[in-house]
Amino acid sequence: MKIWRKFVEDEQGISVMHDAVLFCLMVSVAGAILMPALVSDVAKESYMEKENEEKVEEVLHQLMVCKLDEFSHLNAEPVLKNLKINTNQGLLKPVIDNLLKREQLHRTYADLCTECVACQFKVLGHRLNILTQNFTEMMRVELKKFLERQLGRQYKYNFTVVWNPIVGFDFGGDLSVGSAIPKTNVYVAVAYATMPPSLFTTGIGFPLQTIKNYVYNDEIKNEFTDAKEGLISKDEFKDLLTSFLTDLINRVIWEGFDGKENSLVDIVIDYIFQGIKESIQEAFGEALSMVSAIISSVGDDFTSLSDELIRNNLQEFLPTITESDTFSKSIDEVKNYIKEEVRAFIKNTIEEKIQAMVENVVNSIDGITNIGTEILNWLFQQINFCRAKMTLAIWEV
Amino acid sequence: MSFIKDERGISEEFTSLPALTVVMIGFAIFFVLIANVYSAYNERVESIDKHEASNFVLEKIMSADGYLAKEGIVREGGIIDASKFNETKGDEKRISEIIEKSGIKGIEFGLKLKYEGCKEQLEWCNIPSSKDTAAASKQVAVYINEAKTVPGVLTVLVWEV
Repeated sequence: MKIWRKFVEDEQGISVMHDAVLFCLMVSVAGAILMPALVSDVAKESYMEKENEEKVEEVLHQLMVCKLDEFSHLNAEPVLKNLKINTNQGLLKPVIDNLLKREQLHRTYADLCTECVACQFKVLGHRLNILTQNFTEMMRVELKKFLERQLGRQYKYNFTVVWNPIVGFDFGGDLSVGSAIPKTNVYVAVAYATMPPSLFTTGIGFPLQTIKNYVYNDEIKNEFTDAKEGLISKDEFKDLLTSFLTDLINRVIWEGFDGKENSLVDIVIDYIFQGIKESIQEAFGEALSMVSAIISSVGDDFTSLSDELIRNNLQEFLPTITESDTFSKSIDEVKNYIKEEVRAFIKNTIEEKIQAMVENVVNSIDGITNIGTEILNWLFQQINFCRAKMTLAIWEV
Repeated sequence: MSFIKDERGISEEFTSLPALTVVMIGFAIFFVLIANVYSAYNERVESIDKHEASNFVLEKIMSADGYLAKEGIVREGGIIDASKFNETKGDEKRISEIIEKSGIKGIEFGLKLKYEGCKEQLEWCNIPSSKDTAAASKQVAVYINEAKTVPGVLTVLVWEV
Protein backbone atom coordinates (compact mmCIF):
# COMPACT_ATOMS: atom_id res chain seq x y z
CA MET A 1 0.00 0.00 0.00
CA LYS A 2 2.95 2.18 0.83
CA ILE A 3 4.55 1.51 -2.56
CA TRP A 4 1.26 2.28 -4.37
CA ARG A 5 1.01 5.65 -2.67
CA LYS A 6 4.63 6.46 -3.58
CA PHE A 7 3.99 5.67 -7.24
CA VAL A 8 0.82 7.78 -7.47
CA GLU A 9 2.35 10.73 -5.73
CA ASP A 10 5.50 10.72 -7.77
CA GLU A 11 5.41 13.84 -9.91
CA GLN A 12 8.80 13.38 -11.60
CA GLY A 13 8.86 12.23 -15.22
CA ILE A 14 10.56 12.56 -18.57
CA SER A 15 8.76 14.89 -20.86
CA VAL A 16 7.71 13.54 -24.30
CA MET A 17 9.79 16.40 -25.73
CA HIS A 18 12.92 14.69 -24.49
CA ASP A 19 11.98 11.61 -26.47
CA ALA A 20 11.41 13.70 -29.56
CA VAL A 21 14.73 15.52 -29.24
CA LEU A 22 16.55 12.20 -28.76
CA PHE A 23 14.79 10.84 -31.83
CA CYS A 24 15.81 13.86 -33.92
CA LEU A 25 19.36 13.49 -32.70
CA MET A 26 19.45 9.86 -33.82
CA VAL A 27 17.96 10.71 -37.22
CA SER A 28 20.69 13.35 -37.65
CA VAL A 29 23.37 10.82 -36.72
CA ALA A 30 21.93 8.35 -39.24
CA GLY A 31 21.89 11.13 -41.85
CA ALA A 32 25.50 12.01 -41.09
CA ILE A 33 26.51 8.38 -41.45
CA LEU A 34 24.66 8.07 -44.76
CA MET A 35 25.82 11.44 -46.06
CA PRO A 36 29.02 10.17 -47.77
CA ALA A 37 26.97 7.61 -49.67
CA LEU A 38 24.51 10.31 -50.65
CA VAL A 39 26.92 13.04 -51.64
CA SER A 40 30.19 11.44 -52.76
CA ASP A 41 30.43 9.45 -55.94
CA VAL A 42 33.20 7.04 -55.04
CA ALA A 43 32.10 4.42 -57.53
CA LYS A 44 31.64 6.98 -60.26
CA GLU A 45 34.96 8.62 -59.51
CA SER A 46 36.86 5.36 -59.63
CA TYR A 47 35.13 4.55 -62.89
CA MET A 48 36.09 7.94 -64.31
CA GLU A 49 39.67 7.26 -63.30
CA LYS A 50 39.60 3.97 -65.15
CA GLU A 51 38.11 5.72 -68.19
CA ASN A 52 40.87 8.33 -68.13
CA GLU A 53 43.53 5.64 -67.89
CA GLU A 54 42.03 3.96 -70.92
CA LYS A 55 41.74 7.28 -72.74
CA VAL A 56 45.43 8.10 -72.41
CA GLU A 57 46.35 4.64 -73.72
CA GLU A 58 43.95 5.05 -76.65
CA VAL A 59 45.25 8.47 -77.64
CA LEU A 60 48.85 7.29 -77.48
CA HIS A 61 47.89 4.32 -79.66
CA GLN A 62 46.28 6.70 -82.16
CA LEU A 63 49.45 8.75 -82.16
CA MET A 64 51.52 5.66 -82.89
CA VAL A 65 49.47 4.43 -85.85
CA CYS A 66 47.68 7.41 -87.39
CA LYS A 67 49.24 8.96 -90.44
CA LEU A 68 49.89 12.60 -91.15
CA ASP A 69 48.95 13.32 -94.76
CA GLU A 70 51.39 16.10 -95.42
CA PHE A 71 54.32 17.24 -93.39
CA SER A 72 57.05 19.58 -94.50
CA HIS A 73 59.95 21.38 -92.94
CA LEU A 74 62.70 23.63 -94.12
CA ASN A 75 66.25 22.40 -93.74
CA ALA A 76 68.95 24.85 -92.71
CA GLU A 77 66.38 27.45 -91.65
CA PRO A 78 68.70 28.97 -88.99
CA VAL A 79 71.39 29.41 -91.65
CA LEU A 80 68.95 31.31 -93.87
CA LYS A 81 67.77 33.40 -90.93
CA ASN A 82 71.34 34.23 -90.05
CA LEU A 83 71.92 35.36 -93.59
CA LYS A 84 68.79 37.51 -93.25
CA ILE A 85 67.01 35.75 -96.09
CA ASN A 86 63.26 36.01 -95.91
CA THR A 87 62.04 32.54 -96.85
CA ASN A 88 58.53 33.78 -97.61
CA GLN A 89 59.63 36.49 -99.97
CA GLY A 90 57.70 36.42 -103.28
CA LEU A 91 59.71 34.75 -105.98
CA LEU A 92 62.31 33.41 -103.60
CA LYS A 93 59.88 31.15 -101.77
CA PRO A 94 59.45 28.54 -104.53
CA VAL A 95 63.21 28.47 -105.10
CA ILE A 96 64.01 27.92 -101.43
CA ASP A 97 61.17 25.42 -101.09
CA ASN A 98 62.48 23.52 -104.04
CA LEU A 99 66.01 23.36 -102.73
CA LEU A 100 65.66 23.10 -98.99
CA LYS A 101 62.10 22.10 -98.16
CA ARG A 102 61.57 18.49 -97.31
CA GLU A 103 58.11 17.08 -97.71
CA GLN A 104 56.99 13.82 -96.17
CA LEU A 105 53.67 12.30 -97.12
CA HIS A 106 51.56 9.75 -95.27
CA ARG A 107 53.97 9.03 -92.45
CA THR A 108 52.84 8.00 -88.99
CA TYR A 109 53.30 10.52 -86.18
CA ALA A 110 55.52 8.02 -84.38
CA ASP A 111 57.82 7.66 -87.41
CA LEU A 112 58.15 11.41 -87.77
CA CYS A 113 58.86 11.82 -84.05
CA THR A 114 61.60 9.19 -84.03
CA GLU A 115 63.13 10.66 -87.17
CA CYS A 116 63.03 14.09 -85.58
CA VAL A 117 64.85 12.99 -82.42
CA ALA A 118 67.33 10.85 -84.37
CA CYS A 119 68.74 13.83 -86.27
CA GLN A 120 69.08 16.30 -83.39
CA PHE A 121 72.40 14.95 -82.07
CA LYS A 122 72.07 16.47 -78.64
CA VAL A 123 75.14 16.06 -76.47
CA LEU A 124 75.35 17.34 -72.90
CA GLY A 125 72.25 19.47 -73.41
CA HIS A 126 73.56 21.13 -76.55
CA ARG A 127 72.05 20.52 -79.96
CA LEU A 128 74.83 19.91 -82.45
CA ASN A 129 72.69 19.67 -85.55
CA ILE A 130 71.18 23.09 -85.97
CA LEU A 131 70.19 22.43 -89.57
CA THR A 132 67.09 20.48 -88.63
CA GLN A 133 65.81 22.97 -86.05
CA ASN A 134 62.75 23.67 -88.20
CA PHE A 135 61.93 19.93 -88.32
CA THR A 136 61.53 19.96 -84.53
CA GLU A 137 59.48 23.14 -84.57
CA MET A 138 57.09 21.93 -87.27
CA MET A 139 56.76 18.57 -85.55
CA ARG A 140 55.73 20.36 -82.35
CA VAL A 141 53.05 22.27 -84.25
CA GLU A 142 51.60 19.10 -85.80
CA LEU A 143 51.65 17.15 -82.53
CA LYS A 144 49.92 20.00 -80.76
CA LYS A 145 47.20 20.11 -83.40
CA PHE A 146 46.65 16.36 -83.24
CA LEU A 147 46.55 16.12 -79.45
CA GLU A 148 44.26 19.11 -79.04
CA ARG A 149 41.87 17.61 -81.57
CA GLN A 150 41.79 14.27 -79.78
CA LEU A 151 41.67 15.48 -76.19
CA GLY A 152 39.54 18.58 -76.53
CA ARG A 153 39.45 21.38 -73.99
CA GLN A 154 38.65 19.11 -71.10
CA TYR A 155 42.21 17.88 -70.79
CA LYS A 156 45.69 19.28 -70.69
CA TYR A 157 48.55 17.16 -71.88
CA ASN A 158 52.27 16.63 -72.14
CA PHE A 159 53.78 14.45 -74.81
CA THR A 160 57.49 13.67 -74.74
CA VAL A 161 59.71 11.57 -76.95
CA VAL A 162 63.15 10.79 -75.62
CA TRP A 163 65.90 8.94 -77.39
CA ASN A 164 68.63 8.38 -74.87
CA PRO A 165 70.62 5.37 -76.04
CA ILE A 166 73.13 5.26 -73.19
CA VAL A 167 71.24 5.41 -69.88
CA GLY A 168 72.41 8.30 -67.73
CA PHE A 169 74.61 9.90 -70.40
CA ASP A 170 73.10 13.00 -71.93
CA PHE A 171 73.28 12.08 -75.59
CA GLY A 172 70.48 11.60 -78.14
CA GLY A 173 67.44 13.73 -78.83
CA ASP A 174 64.14 14.80 -77.35
CA LEU A 175 60.89 16.40 -78.33
CA SER A 176 58.23 17.70 -76.00
CA VAL A 177 54.87 19.42 -76.40
CA GLY A 178 52.27 20.56 -73.88
CA SER A 179 52.26 22.01 -70.40
CA ALA A 180 54.34 21.09 -67.36
CA ILE A 181 52.98 17.96 -65.67
CA PRO A 182 51.30 18.54 -62.28
CA LYS A 183 52.11 16.28 -59.34
CA THR A 184 48.69 14.70 -58.82
CA ASN A 185 45.78 13.30 -60.81
CA VAL A 186 47.83 12.63 -63.91
CA TYR A 187 47.21 9.70 -66.23
CA VAL A 188 50.27 8.43 -68.05
CA ALA A 189 50.86 6.02 -70.91
CA VAL A 190 54.26 4.91 -72.14
CA ALA A 191 55.23 3.23 -75.39
CA TYR A 192 58.46 2.48 -77.20
CA ALA A 193 58.92 3.25 -80.87
CA THR A 194 61.56 1.80 -83.14
CA MET A 195 64.14 4.25 -84.37
CA PRO A 196 64.39 4.77 -88.13
CA PRO A 197 67.17 2.91 -89.92
CA SER A 198 70.48 4.68 -89.52
CA LEU A 199 73.97 3.69 -88.57
CA PHE A 200 72.79 3.56 -84.98
CA THR A 201 70.33 0.78 -85.68
CA THR A 202 72.07 -1.09 -88.50
CA GLY A 203 75.78 -0.23 -88.48
CA ILE A 204 76.20 -1.07 -84.82
CA GLY A 205 75.36 -4.67 -85.68
CA PHE A 206 79.05 -5.44 -85.86
CA PRO A 207 79.96 -4.53 -82.29
CA LEU A 208 76.75 -6.21 -81.09
CA GLN A 209 77.90 -9.54 -82.47
CA THR A 210 81.37 -8.96 -81.04
CA ILE A 211 79.87 -8.12 -77.65
CA LYS A 212 77.79 -11.31 -77.72
CA ASN A 213 80.79 -13.45 -78.61
CA TYR A 214 82.85 -11.78 -75.91
CA VAL A 215 80.24 -12.37 -73.21
CA TYR A 216 79.40 -15.96 -74.16
CA ASN A 217 83.04 -17.07 -74.51
CA ASP A 218 84.38 -15.51 -71.35
CA GLU A 219 85.50 -17.40 -68.25
CA ILE A 220 82.70 -15.75 -66.27
CA LYS A 221 80.40 -18.59 -67.34
CA ASN A 222 82.56 -21.20 -65.56
CA GLU A 223 83.06 -18.94 -62.56
CA PHE A 224 79.30 -18.56 -62.30
CA THR A 225 78.88 -22.37 -62.30
CA ASP A 226 81.59 -22.66 -59.64
CA ALA A 227 79.82 -20.08 -57.49
CA LYS A 228 76.52 -21.86 -57.93
CA GLU A 229 78.02 -25.17 -56.85
CA GLY A 230 79.82 -23.53 -53.94
CA LEU A 231 83.35 -24.11 -55.26
CA ILE A 232 84.14 -20.41 -54.85
CA SER A 233 82.70 -18.08 -52.24
CA LYS A 234 80.04 -15.50 -53.06
CA ASP A 235 82.40 -12.64 -52.23
CA GLU A 236 84.99 -13.98 -54.64
CA PHE A 237 82.35 -14.26 -57.36
CA LYS A 238 81.15 -10.73 -56.62
CA ASP A 239 84.67 -9.39 -57.25
CA LEU A 240 85.02 -11.40 -60.44
CA LEU A 241 81.66 -10.25 -61.81
CA THR A 242 82.32 -6.61 -60.89
CA SER A 243 85.62 -6.57 -62.72
CA PHE A 244 84.09 -8.38 -65.70
CA LEU A 245 81.20 -5.91 -66.02
CA THR A 246 83.49 -2.88 -65.57
CA ASP A 247 85.78 -4.26 -68.25
CA LEU A 248 82.82 -5.01 -70.54
CA ILE A 249 81.37 -1.50 -70.24
CA ASN A 250 84.79 0.06 -70.76
CA ARG A 251 85.35 -1.99 -73.88
CA VAL A 252 81.86 -1.39 -75.27
CA ILE A 253 81.77 2.32 -74.72
CA TRP A 254 85.26 3.51 -75.43
CA GLU A 255 88.03 0.94 -75.66
CA GLY A 256 86.77 -1.38 -78.38
CA PHE A 257 87.40 -5.11 -78.45
CA ASP A 258 90.56 -5.54 -80.49
CA GLY A 259 92.44 -2.36 -79.75
CA LYS A 260 91.23 -0.72 -82.96
CA GLU A 261 89.01 2.35 -82.98
CA ASN A 262 85.73 0.52 -83.12
CA SER A 263 84.17 1.26 -79.76
CA LEU A 264 80.59 2.47 -79.64
CA VAL A 265 81.51 6.03 -78.77
CA ASP A 266 83.99 6.22 -81.64
CA ILE A 267 81.52 4.87 -84.14
CA VAL A 268 78.69 7.10 -82.95
CA ILE A 269 80.64 10.31 -82.66
CA ASP A 270 82.45 9.80 -85.95
CA TYR A 271 79.13 9.12 -87.63
CA ILE A 272 77.48 12.20 -86.17
CA PHE A 273 80.27 14.54 -87.16
CA GLN A 274 80.81 12.96 -90.53
CA GLY A 275 77.10 13.44 -91.12
CA ILE A 276 77.15 17.07 -90.04
CA LYS A 277 80.25 17.80 -92.09
CA GLU A 278 78.93 16.16 -95.21
CA SER A 279 75.48 17.63 -94.99
CA ILE A 280 76.86 21.12 -94.59
CA GLN A 281 79.57 20.90 -97.17
CA GLU A 282 77.79 18.90 -99.82
CA ALA A 283 74.03 18.83 -99.73
CA PHE A 284 73.22 22.04 -97.90
CA GLY A 285 76.24 23.89 -99.16
CA GLU A 286 75.21 23.32 -102.74
CA ALA A 287 71.58 24.20 -102.18
CA LEU A 288 72.39 27.21 -100.05
CA SER A 289 74.97 28.45 -102.54
CA MET A 290 72.31 28.39 -105.21
CA VAL A 291 70.02 30.38 -102.97
CA SER A 292 72.81 32.85 -102.30
CA ALA A 293 73.60 33.12 -105.99
CA ILE A 294 70.03 34.27 -106.54
CA ILE A 295 70.16 36.83 -103.76
CA SER A 296 72.83 39.33 -104.48
CA SER A 297 72.88 40.75 -100.95
CA VAL A 298 74.54 37.63 -99.57
CA GLY A 299 77.52 37.98 -101.84
CA ASP A 300 79.97 35.34 -103.03
CA ASP A 301 81.41 34.38 -99.70
CA PHE A 302 78.55 32.11 -98.85
CA THR A 303 80.31 28.87 -97.85
CA SER A 304 82.46 30.64 -95.31
CA LEU A 305 79.36 32.27 -93.83
CA SER A 306 77.57 28.97 -93.26
CA ASP A 307 80.81 27.39 -91.95
CA GLU A 308 81.07 30.23 -89.50
CA LEU A 309 77.55 29.69 -88.27
CA ILE A 310 78.26 26.03 -87.59
CA ARG A 311 81.53 26.93 -85.90
CA ASN A 312 79.72 29.43 -83.68
CA ASN A 313 77.37 26.68 -82.63
CA LEU A 314 80.31 24.41 -81.79
CA GLN A 315 81.97 27.29 -79.97
CA GLU A 316 78.92 27.71 -77.76
CA PHE A 317 79.30 24.06 -76.90
CA LEU A 318 83.07 24.17 -76.38
CA PRO A 319 84.43 27.70 -75.79
CA THR A 320 88.09 26.63 -76.26
CA ILE A 321 87.55 26.50 -80.02
CA THR A 322 89.11 29.60 -81.53
CA GLU A 323 88.20 31.60 -84.59
CA SER A 324 91.41 30.59 -86.31
CA ASP A 325 90.76 26.85 -85.98
CA THR A 326 89.84 25.16 -89.21
CA PHE A 327 86.46 23.55 -89.54
CA SER A 328 87.88 19.99 -89.30
CA LYS A 329 90.01 20.94 -86.32
CA SER A 330 87.00 22.37 -84.49
CA ILE A 331 85.08 19.17 -85.09
CA ASP A 332 88.03 17.05 -83.88
CA GLU A 333 88.24 19.10 -80.71
CA VAL A 334 84.55 18.64 -79.97
CA LYS A 335 84.87 14.91 -80.65
CA ASN A 336 87.71 14.54 -78.15
CA TYR A 337 85.85 16.63 -75.59
CA ILE A 338 82.78 14.41 -75.81
CA LYS A 339 84.91 11.26 -75.49
CA GLU A 340 86.47 12.65 -72.31
CA GLU A 341 83.02 13.42 -70.95
CA VAL A 342 81.94 9.84 -71.62
CA ARG A 343 84.95 8.59 -69.66
CA ALA A 344 84.01 10.74 -66.70
CA PHE A 345 80.46 9.51 -66.92
CA ILE A 346 81.54 5.88 -66.86
CA LYS A 347 83.61 6.44 -63.76
CA ASN A 348 80.85 8.28 -61.91
CA THR A 349 77.60 6.68 -62.90
CA ILE A 350 78.07 3.20 -64.20
CA GLU A 351 79.87 1.89 -61.10
CA GLU A 352 76.67 2.19 -59.10
CA LYS A 353 74.73 0.34 -61.75
CA ILE A 354 77.35 -2.43 -61.82
CA GLN A 355 77.15 -2.84 -58.05
CA ALA A 356 73.35 -3.13 -58.24
CA MET A 357 73.59 -5.74 -61.00
CA VAL A 358 76.21 -7.78 -59.08
CA GLU A 359 74.06 -7.79 -55.93
CA ASN A 360 71.07 -8.81 -57.99
CA VAL A 361 72.88 -11.76 -59.59
CA VAL A 362 74.41 -12.98 -56.33
CA ASN A 363 71.10 -12.77 -54.45
CA SER A 364 69.19 -14.74 -57.04
CA ILE A 365 72.03 -17.01 -58.11
CA ASP A 366 69.91 -20.19 -57.94
CA GLY A 367 67.22 -18.82 -60.23
CA ILE A 368 69.63 -17.87 -63.03
CA THR A 369 70.46 -20.52 -65.59
CA ASN A 370 72.43 -18.56 -68.16
CA ILE A 371 74.63 -15.78 -66.85
CA GLY A 372 75.59 -14.69 -70.39
CA THR A 373 71.99 -13.84 -71.29
CA GLU A 374 71.51 -12.02 -67.98
CA ILE A 375 74.57 -9.89 -68.62
CA LEU A 376 73.52 -9.10 -72.19
CA ASN A 377 69.99 -8.18 -71.08
CA TRP A 378 71.42 -5.87 -68.47
CA LEU A 379 73.85 -4.35 -70.95
CA PHE A 380 71.13 -3.67 -73.53
CA GLN A 381 68.96 -2.06 -70.89
CA GLN A 382 71.78 0.40 -70.34
CA ILE A 383 72.72 0.81 -74.00
CA ASN A 384 70.01 0.61 -76.64
CA PHE A 385 70.15 2.62 -79.83
CA CYS A 386 67.07 1.11 -81.44
CA ARG A 387 64.19 2.55 -79.45
CA ALA A 388 62.80 5.86 -78.29
CA LYS A 389 60.51 6.24 -75.30
CA MET A 390 57.20 8.02 -75.86
CA THR A 391 55.29 9.29 -72.86
CA LEU A 392 51.86 10.85 -72.93
CA ALA A 393 50.49 12.40 -69.75
CA ILE A 394 46.99 13.88 -69.52
CA TRP A 395 45.09 15.56 -66.71
CA GLU A 396 41.72 17.18 -66.40
CA VAL A 397 41.52 20.94 -66.40
CA MET B 1 -17.39 2.01 -7.13
CA SER B 2 -15.78 5.21 -5.97
CA PHE B 3 -12.99 5.07 -8.57
CA ILE B 4 -15.52 5.25 -11.45
CA LYS B 5 -16.93 8.43 -10.15
CA ASP B 6 -13.56 9.83 -9.61
CA GLU B 7 -13.15 12.42 -12.36
CA ARG B 8 -9.68 13.54 -11.47
CA GLY B 9 -6.87 12.57 -13.80
CA ILE B 10 -3.39 13.48 -14.94
CA SER B 11 -3.70 15.00 -18.39
CA GLU B 12 -0.87 14.60 -20.93
CA GLU B 13 1.49 17.50 -20.96
CA PHE B 14 0.70 20.17 -23.46
CA THR B 15 4.19 19.86 -24.96
CA SER B 16 3.45 16.44 -26.40
CA LEU B 17 1.78 17.96 -29.46
CA PRO B 18 4.84 19.89 -30.71
CA ALA B 19 6.90 16.85 -29.73
CA LEU B 20 4.83 14.68 -32.01
CA THR B 21 5.20 17.22 -34.82
CA VAL B 22 8.98 17.15 -34.43
CA VAL B 23 8.95 13.35 -34.49
CA MET B 24 6.85 13.34 -37.65
CA ILE B 25 9.19 15.78 -39.40
CA GLY B 26 12.17 13.70 -38.25
CA PHE B 27 10.57 10.56 -39.65
CA ALA B 28 9.85 12.26 -42.94
CA ILE B 29 13.45 13.48 -43.31
CA PHE B 30 14.76 10.06 -42.40
CA PHE B 31 12.58 8.36 -44.99
CA VAL B 32 13.54 10.81 -47.72
CA LEU B 33 17.20 10.26 -46.88
CA ILE B 34 16.98 6.50 -47.00
CA ALA B 35 14.89 6.52 -50.15
CA ASN B 36 17.34 8.87 -51.86
CA VAL B 37 20.38 6.86 -50.91
CA TYR B 38 18.74 3.67 -51.97
CA SER B 39 17.48 4.91 -55.31
CA ALA B 40 20.71 6.77 -56.11
CA TYR B 41 22.77 3.71 -55.24
CA ASN B 42 20.52 1.49 -57.31
CA GLU B 43 20.67 3.80 -60.27
CA ARG B 44 24.43 4.09 -60.07
CA VAL B 45 24.95 0.36 -59.82
CA GLU B 46 22.62 -0.18 -62.74
CA SER B 47 24.28 2.41 -64.95
CA ILE B 48 27.77 1.17 -64.08
CA ASP B 49 26.61 -2.38 -64.75
CA LYS B 50 25.26 -1.38 -68.13
CA HIS B 51 28.37 0.57 -68.99
CA GLU B 52 30.59 -2.25 -67.84
CA ALA B 53 28.65 -4.69 -69.98
CA SER B 54 29.09 -2.50 -73.04
CA ASN B 55 32.74 -1.93 -72.21
CA PHE B 56 33.23 -5.66 -71.85
CA VAL B 57 31.62 -6.24 -75.26
CA LEU B 58 33.83 -3.53 -76.76
CA GLU B 59 37.00 -5.02 -75.36
CA LYS B 60 36.05 -8.53 -76.33
CA ILE B 61 35.20 -7.76 -79.94
CA MET B 62 38.24 -5.52 -80.35
CA SER B 63 40.73 -8.11 -79.08
CA ALA B 64 43.36 -9.38 -81.50
CA ASP B 65 41.82 -12.86 -81.63
CA GLY B 66 38.18 -11.65 -81.58
CA TYR B 67 35.69 -12.32 -84.33
CA LEU B 68 35.98 -8.81 -85.80
CA ALA B 69 39.71 -9.43 -86.26
CA LYS B 70 38.93 -12.72 -88.04
CA GLU B 71 36.48 -10.89 -90.28
CA GLY B 72 39.13 -8.30 -91.10
CA ILE B 73 37.19 -5.39 -89.62
CA VAL B 74 39.87 -5.02 -86.97
CA ARG B 75 43.31 -5.03 -88.55
CA GLU B 76 46.65 -5.78 -86.97
CA GLY B 77 47.46 -3.36 -84.17
CA GLY B 78 43.80 -2.73 -83.28
CA ILE B 79 43.08 -0.51 -86.29
CA ILE B 80 39.52 -0.45 -87.71
CA ASP B 81 39.22 -1.05 -91.45
CA ALA B 82 36.75 1.57 -92.69
CA SER B 83 35.89 -0.15 -95.98
CA LYS B 84 35.21 -3.52 -94.30
CA PHE B 85 33.09 -1.76 -91.68
CA ASN B 86 31.15 -0.07 -94.43
CA GLU B 87 30.58 -3.40 -96.20
CA THR B 88 29.22 -4.95 -93.03
CA LYS B 89 27.04 -2.16 -91.71
CA GLY B 90 24.03 -2.84 -93.93
CA ASP B 91 24.32 -6.62 -94.09
CA GLU B 92 21.93 -7.92 -91.45
CA LYS B 93 22.83 -11.57 -92.02
CA ARG B 94 26.52 -10.90 -91.53
CA ILE B 95 25.88 -8.80 -88.45
CA SER B 96 23.84 -11.53 -86.76
CA GLU B 97 26.59 -14.01 -87.64
CA ILE B 98 29.18 -11.73 -86.03
CA ILE B 99 27.04 -11.37 -82.87
CA GLU B 100 26.49 -15.11 -82.70
CA LYS B 101 30.14 -16.05 -83.24
CA SER B 102 31.58 -13.40 -80.96
CA GLY B 103 30.63 -15.62 -77.99
CA ILE B 104 28.55 -12.99 -76.15
CA LYS B 105 25.32 -14.47 -74.81
CA GLY B 106 22.16 -12.80 -73.57
CA ILE B 107 22.78 -9.40 -75.08
CA GLU B 108 22.95 -8.05 -78.58
CA PHE B 109 25.16 -5.25 -79.77
CA GLY B 110 25.62 -2.82 -82.61
CA LEU B 111 28.56 -0.63 -83.62
CA LYS B 112 28.90 2.99 -84.65
CA LEU B 113 32.00 4.49 -86.18
CA LYS B 114 32.95 8.09 -86.74
CA TYR B 115 36.29 9.23 -88.03
CA GLU B 116 37.99 12.36 -89.30
CA GLY B 117 36.88 13.19 -92.80
CA CYS B 118 33.69 11.09 -92.85
CA LYS B 119 30.56 13.10 -93.34
CA GLU B 120 28.21 11.02 -91.24
CA GLN B 121 28.52 8.37 -88.59
CA LEU B 122 28.56 4.80 -89.91
CA GLU B 123 26.02 2.64 -88.07
CA TRP B 124 25.13 -1.02 -88.06
CA CYS B 125 21.58 -1.52 -89.32
CA ASN B 126 20.53 -3.74 -86.41
CA ILE B 127 20.56 -0.95 -83.79
CA PRO B 128 16.96 -0.54 -82.51
CA SER B 129 15.59 2.93 -81.96
CA SER B 130 13.05 2.05 -79.27
CA LYS B 131 15.02 -0.21 -76.92
CA ASP B 132 16.89 0.85 -73.83
CA THR B 133 20.57 0.69 -74.79
CA ALA B 134 23.86 1.27 -73.03
CA ALA B 135 26.93 2.55 -74.82
CA ALA B 136 30.71 2.60 -74.47
CA SER B 137 33.16 4.41 -76.72
CA LYS B 138 36.80 4.01 -77.55
CA GLN B 139 39.16 6.26 -79.44
CA VAL B 140 40.60 4.22 -82.28
CA ALA B 141 42.66 4.54 -85.42
CA VAL B 142 40.76 3.99 -88.67
CA TYR B 143 42.42 2.58 -91.77
CA ILE B 144 41.09 4.23 -94.92
CA ASN B 145 43.74 3.10 -97.40
CA GLU B 146 47.49 2.46 -97.57
CA ALA B 147 48.21 6.17 -97.29
CA LYS B 148 45.56 7.18 -94.81
CA THR B 149 45.02 6.11 -91.23
CA VAL B 150 43.02 8.65 -89.26
CA PRO B 151 41.78 8.97 -85.68
CA GLY B 152 38.16 8.10 -84.95
CA VAL B 153 35.70 6.96 -82.30
CA LEU B 154 34.10 3.52 -82.14
CA THR B 155 30.94 3.19 -80.08
CA VAL B 156 29.29 -0.05 -79.07
CA LEU B 157 25.61 -0.12 -78.07
CA VAL B 158 24.27 -3.10 -76.14
CA TRP B 159 20.72 -4.11 -75.31
CA GLU B 160 18.99 -7.10 -73.83
CA VAL B 161 17.48 -9.62 -76.21
